[in-house]
Amino acid sequence: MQRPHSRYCAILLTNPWILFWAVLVSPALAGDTLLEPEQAFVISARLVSDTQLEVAYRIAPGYYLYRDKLDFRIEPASMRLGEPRLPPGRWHEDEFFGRSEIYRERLTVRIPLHGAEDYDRFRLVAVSQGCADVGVCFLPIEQSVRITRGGLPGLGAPQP
Amino acid sequence: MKRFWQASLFLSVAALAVAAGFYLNPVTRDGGGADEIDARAVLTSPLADLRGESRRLEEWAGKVLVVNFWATWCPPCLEEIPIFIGMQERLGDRGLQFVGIAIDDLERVRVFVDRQGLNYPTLVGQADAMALSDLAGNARGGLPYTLVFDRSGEILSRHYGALTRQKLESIVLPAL
Repeated sequence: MQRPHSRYCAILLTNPWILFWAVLVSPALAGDTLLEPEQAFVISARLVSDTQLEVAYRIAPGYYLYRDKLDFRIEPASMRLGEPRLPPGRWHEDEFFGRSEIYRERLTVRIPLHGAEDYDRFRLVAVSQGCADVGVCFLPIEQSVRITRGGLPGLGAPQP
Repeated sequence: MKRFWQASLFLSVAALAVAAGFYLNPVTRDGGGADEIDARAVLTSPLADLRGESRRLEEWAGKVLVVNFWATWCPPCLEEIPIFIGMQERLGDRGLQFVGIAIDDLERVRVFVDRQGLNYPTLVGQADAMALSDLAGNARGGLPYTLVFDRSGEILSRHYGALTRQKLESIVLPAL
């Protein structure tokens, strides 16, 4: 018969939720902490149609992105991005710069895309700049996402 | 006895998780240990000052050196600069030396330095200043980021985020 403490041990060690939350919470217990910017601002992108991209940011709690510091470009350069449709942000008050528009938690941006029909894969390069509420701002970061046309009709000829 | 085992197991798992949290997740604002930083490389790397002349931090060797990475677009950076100006004025005679390293546009930095009356040297750059910041242990690219060197050029402390006067004094005063 299994002894009670063995069972307890097994429950603890095999319950991923206990470990998950402990790993997540433990740095907070240690005081002020700082994530890598790529962990604080997790980017993804997908093609929603031949002429439209959707870029999403998952922003860690306690971090924010500046709306006016976002910039996107597409590679190869023969393709072209239209004006990003940035949703309204939240207002952030700061004693030095006054009010700035920021994003927290989630941000989804639709961007018109031109010339995608000739390519079956391309790369979105996003530049963003944000801060942590603990009083640290990050240098602008450049993140790159590879996008494929999988699932969309009208697949173009692969490019060299 | 059963409770003892239960408590032991729970604490062990909690300790493991906390350790994993430190390992997988963020550094604290104190920046962790400075062991992996090559202090000599930081002190000898050239960077331009506001007049475009190449400078190296080693020219302030023998002083307690506070090296502050900052930018004009970074609100917490601007918050601590008046504290640095005050401490430079008060403790400069005792061997305390601040040096600001702005990762920013030269003209913006010039305007800010003049307007705020910075009484300590400012070096400025973009990619080269970022590279120096990285060399100085700021792999996250967080600002402000401050390193304190003792008189022998050893790193005493490093810190992310705005420093308070009390915190900075607790680091530099024993070294003066």
